[in-house]
Amino acid sequence: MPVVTRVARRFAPLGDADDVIQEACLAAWRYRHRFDPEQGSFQTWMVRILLNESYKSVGRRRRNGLLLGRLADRSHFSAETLSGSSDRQLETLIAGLPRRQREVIELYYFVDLPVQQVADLLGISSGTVKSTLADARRSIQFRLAGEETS
Amino acid sequence: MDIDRRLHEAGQRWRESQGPALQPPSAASLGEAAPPHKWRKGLAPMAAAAAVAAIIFGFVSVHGATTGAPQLPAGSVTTPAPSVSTSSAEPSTSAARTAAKAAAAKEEARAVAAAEAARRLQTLTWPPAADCVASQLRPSLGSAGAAAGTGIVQILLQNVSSERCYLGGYLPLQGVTASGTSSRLTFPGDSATAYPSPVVPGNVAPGGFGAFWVSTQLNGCANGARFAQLVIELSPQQYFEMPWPIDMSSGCLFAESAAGPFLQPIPSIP
Repeated sequence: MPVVTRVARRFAPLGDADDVIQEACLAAWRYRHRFDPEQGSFQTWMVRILLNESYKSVGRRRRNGLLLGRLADRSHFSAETLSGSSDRQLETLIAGLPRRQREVIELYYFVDLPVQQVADLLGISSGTVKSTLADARRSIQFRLAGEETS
Repeated sequence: MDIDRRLHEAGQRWRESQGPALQPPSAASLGEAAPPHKWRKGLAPMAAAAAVAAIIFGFVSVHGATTGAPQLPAGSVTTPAPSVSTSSAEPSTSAARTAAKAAAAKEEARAVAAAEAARRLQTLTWPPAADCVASQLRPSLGSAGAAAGTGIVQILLQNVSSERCYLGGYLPLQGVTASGTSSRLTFPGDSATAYPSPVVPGNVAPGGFGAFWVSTQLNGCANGARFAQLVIELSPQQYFEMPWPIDMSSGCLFAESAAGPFLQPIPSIP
């Protein structure tokens, strides 16, 4: 399930992806009776659980103070896996976006989900996804321009 | 550069930088790479021990009931408790330390022998085999001896076939005279005392041995049984015969043990 792995690696704290996937699988099994095929695909349901588990994991890390170092640069993602300094810069800017913008950027560009699936996952319309993506791109573009001129 | 294209390329590079998707662990890798939780480490031996115990328990409860006497696997369950002193006093001399080492080595050897007997018992009882038939077994006289007024004769039954077969219970015996007159042998004594190490029913491997024992009372016996042939019955239709063991005529017939696979090397009978 590469989508699940990508989501975990993008949203879970660094080093916690495997644990988050495991927790999500357990939660999916525990609440399997809640899955409704009419509400969406199983993958969408599973990824939603994964996102929740990832945020829980982030919360736990924050409470334990383990994220302090990463919060300083406003990024808890695996920036070191990116190839160049431009990607690292981009990653930092994404981490600084509002949560909803960050989610759609991550899911659309990095997890590589289509717009409709991102919409299903986040419970919003595809039009909202597109407009959120546009807002996020403008924000990134604006900050990139500001960093390059400074 | 267009930010949309830049994000797409960054996403592509990130995906390519990731390793393969997580794969479900194989059974083999679970055994090798699983964290060394104590309960996991102890699970296999516990399961093996439980399996052996279950076999032994089932064995004793089923076959012990059919034979009417408590049956215990030879050399395994009857292993005596450790005889090493549990005194807290430390050995103060080299002789004492040597004795303690010898006792520990003896105890270890005993535990190994018990484990081996349990393993062999498991292989001898599972999977179940068909009952032995007369054509599969070749009788012969094993060892014989006498002690404390009791004579003991061992009858060996070798499986000469290529298949395992089940041997257990008390085999009816007949004595046949030279003129062809047969008489059923009766034993007034307690069968459980026929041999000090009880025999359990089980499968006799190809080439392996089964055995049973007949004991006689030497004291106060005016006339021992004397026959030309000993007939051993596996069932009313299945029987075989062998020359009458002369040692069975040295006293009055007293007891017969149950038959079963002979797990241990043939011991010398006192």
